[in-house]
Amino acid sequence: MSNTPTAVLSGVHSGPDPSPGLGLARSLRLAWPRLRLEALDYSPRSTGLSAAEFDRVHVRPGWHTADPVALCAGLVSIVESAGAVFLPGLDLEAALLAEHGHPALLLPPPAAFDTVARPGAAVAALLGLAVPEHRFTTDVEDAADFAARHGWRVLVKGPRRGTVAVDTRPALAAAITRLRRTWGDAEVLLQRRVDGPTESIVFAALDGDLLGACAMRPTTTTAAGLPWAGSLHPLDSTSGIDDLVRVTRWTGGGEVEIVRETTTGTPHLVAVNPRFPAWIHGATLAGVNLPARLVAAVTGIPPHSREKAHSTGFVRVVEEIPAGPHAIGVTPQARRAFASPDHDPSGMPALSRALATPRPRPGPTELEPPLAQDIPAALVVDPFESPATVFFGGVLDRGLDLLDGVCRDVEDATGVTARFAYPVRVNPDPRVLGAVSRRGAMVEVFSQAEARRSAAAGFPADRVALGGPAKWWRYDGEPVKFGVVTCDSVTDLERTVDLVDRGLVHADVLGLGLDPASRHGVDVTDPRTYRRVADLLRSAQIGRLGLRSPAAGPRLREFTAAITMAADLCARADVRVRCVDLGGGWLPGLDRGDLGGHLVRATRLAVRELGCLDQVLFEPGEFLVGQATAVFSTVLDVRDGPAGRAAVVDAAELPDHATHVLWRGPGGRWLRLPPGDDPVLDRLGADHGTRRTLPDDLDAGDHLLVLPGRGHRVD
Amino acid sequence: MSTEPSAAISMPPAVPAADPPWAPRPPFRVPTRPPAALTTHQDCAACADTRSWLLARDRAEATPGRATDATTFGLGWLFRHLRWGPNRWPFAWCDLPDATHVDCGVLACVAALVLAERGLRVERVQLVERAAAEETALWRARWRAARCSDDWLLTDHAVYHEVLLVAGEPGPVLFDPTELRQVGQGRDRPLWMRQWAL
Ligand SMILES: [Zn+2]
Repeated sequence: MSNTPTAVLSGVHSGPDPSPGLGLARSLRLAWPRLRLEALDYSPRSTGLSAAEFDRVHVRPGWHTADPVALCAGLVSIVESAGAVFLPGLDLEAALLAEHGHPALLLPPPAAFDTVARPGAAVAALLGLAVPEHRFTTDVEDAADFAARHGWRVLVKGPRRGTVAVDTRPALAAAITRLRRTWGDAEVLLQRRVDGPTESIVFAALDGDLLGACAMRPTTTTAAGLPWAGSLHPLDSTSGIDDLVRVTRWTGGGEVEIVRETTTGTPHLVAVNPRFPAWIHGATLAGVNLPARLVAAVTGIPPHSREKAHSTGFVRVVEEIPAGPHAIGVTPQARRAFASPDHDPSGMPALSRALATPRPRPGPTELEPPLAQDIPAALVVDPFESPATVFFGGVLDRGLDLLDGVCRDVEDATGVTARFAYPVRVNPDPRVLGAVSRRGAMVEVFSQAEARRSAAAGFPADRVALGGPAKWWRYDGEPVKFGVVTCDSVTDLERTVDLVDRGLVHADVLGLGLDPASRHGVDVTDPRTYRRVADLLRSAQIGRLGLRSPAAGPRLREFTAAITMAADLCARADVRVRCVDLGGGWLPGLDRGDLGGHLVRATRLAVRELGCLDQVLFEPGEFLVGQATAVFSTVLDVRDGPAGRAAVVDAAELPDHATHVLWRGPGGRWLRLPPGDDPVLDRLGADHGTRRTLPDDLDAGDHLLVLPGRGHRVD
Repeated sequence: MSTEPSAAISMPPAVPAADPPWAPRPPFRVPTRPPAALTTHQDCAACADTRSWLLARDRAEATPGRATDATTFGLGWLFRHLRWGPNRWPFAWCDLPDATHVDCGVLACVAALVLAERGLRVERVQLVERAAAEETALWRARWRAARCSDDWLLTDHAVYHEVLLVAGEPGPVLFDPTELRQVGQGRDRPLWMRQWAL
């Protein structure tokens, strides 16, 4: 029996996003200086193939050119003929090879891959970690709904590989398309983005027995967030990792990636990788040589050199080395080639596409009840004039019902009266204003002209809230009355207080607009502004004071800070705050529980800082009317091309990223078009980001009804 | 604030004799005055407003992670409003909002008030630190241009500085609010220090 082992390592590319092969080679070399090492990768561009660490290299055909199963069989025969053990460096290759169950392949069993699959809830439970809120979906609409619930701070992940952070609707749609195209999976995983410092745990195990583990915290990361330098730490307790490897009967290396959320301190699971990480040699240099422990355990050959801690951390350096013979004939590659996963030199995207199950082309579906009734109500004349904007009174009524319910929920939960003010500027259609007025709700106006328009629609003065920077533009000096006047700068406040003092303006509530994050508001976090506002409040005669600070979605933290500052300020000026306006930015798609829950949290925060309040207000604009109109159009042309199908309609402009596209053939009924990749273009040929699967029998002359997309981002 | 030096000194004064003999340093005069203190004007709403702003501002920045941050003590927000540089003395609380620059004495006062309000035990510490001749030349010119006293520049190689001793787990931390970091060890160790109970 040989007294040095032989190892075959796959995935040896060393680039901005390296594979672990080269690090594994260096770690094994430290333990056995004369060990035989063979490298295996799927493209001559894999740079580690030229490294002096390797005694032999195997460049295998790319995954796109060969049958994955045959490639795996070839790999097993390379390992067998060398009498070697095999350590994988590529996730998907590892998953594929695990099916072979060959003892020389140091891989977790197939069931373990299912256990650690994204989002890894079972693993998180074993390790005592939280899993970020997530949803699997194939539909951009459903994805946008999830994103809206989490304030557009989300990650889009392929079910196996690929992660993209998105914060806007176009970015979300593009990320889903790109992940599908790159990795081939129809389904994507959406996760709330957890911000905070990251750490990784690396471990090695043989048949369920833990051979060792340690933790790494990156001290420098690349632009893509990958570690470039890090510090190594012993684990406080290995009990969680012990359980993980025992339950899964783990063999081989593994990595658990964790992010500790800054705002709560809660550790969340990011991913579990079924292989050693690329920084594995950093752990070896800190005195924990897990690759050597693994190879020693499986071959029975003890390391020739003992583990030694050279440092408690590692840094990476870039090094030019002579190119090996296989790399000499490689043709120059397009710029930024390695920045795109499509050019991964180990061919993981090609393998992923080969493994993905093909999806049948979906067909149109029936409409669900509320929409099925709204459409005949909206399209009274048939055949309809085309193109045209149609108005769904039913959608608006349901939105108003929901808001009434939310107001009741907030009152029940907090004891504070809740009302909403519809911002006229979002859609000043008299039908909308009439519907809002009939509910007894308020309107928010930004100019005297909007105030007159609201009066004409039936709003009494005490249900009109005046705000915005141009509120006194073209004010004619006649006495006026408002329910609320909100000032968003110190000069605005001075001017408004003067108008009130002179008896020209009556406001039931005089509001102070706070918004430290933007210029549209008084920044009381600034000491000079704080002083000026304190002086003004002390000198002015203010009947009822209100505060306005947007609290929607991710702005709750700024809201809390602003309210904390303002509470202190008002206490010093001896003025009591009676009302709080929680602002707008509430995205369509939130249900009664979500919106109500958010408003209750913000109201409780406000009451905690300010004491009891008479009223809280919020401003649903897009939330209320975003889905209440649609574009009715006629198909002019259906084009088939190499990139798929596209429909051109007669409307000059379409809503961006439509939520629904409804289709009606001659004499047929309205059906909903399913998600897909085919664009719907306006008559100018412009693409508004709407993608559907266009049915085979779609034809010129058919009608499409395009419902607008939900808000693009939190403003 | 007590003006008596407190007895417990957590770090022994470094001995300048550690310097190599071929690099002699001129001796400096050990400072005798107590740490800097901001004036509070009687019946001045602006003084009271400024102190109130400071404490409210700190409460508004509270995050759960702040309790464990013994590097910056979550005081990074101070530098959104205050910038290090020369200021005239005496300096009142109501001078703070309009001050273009404040020195380490003001920053130590402000940080001590904020940390004490959070319930931390804080003591004032006076230091003499090493500095390079290029630095002291620059600072002297800057302080003279602003017509502020440069008596804190003790020699070309030694400067007076004010920091805080903050009680914490596992032990007290010598914290420099001007640079938002712990006071250096080894070569950066202060040449002299004195601690004052707050
Ligand atoms: Zn004063």
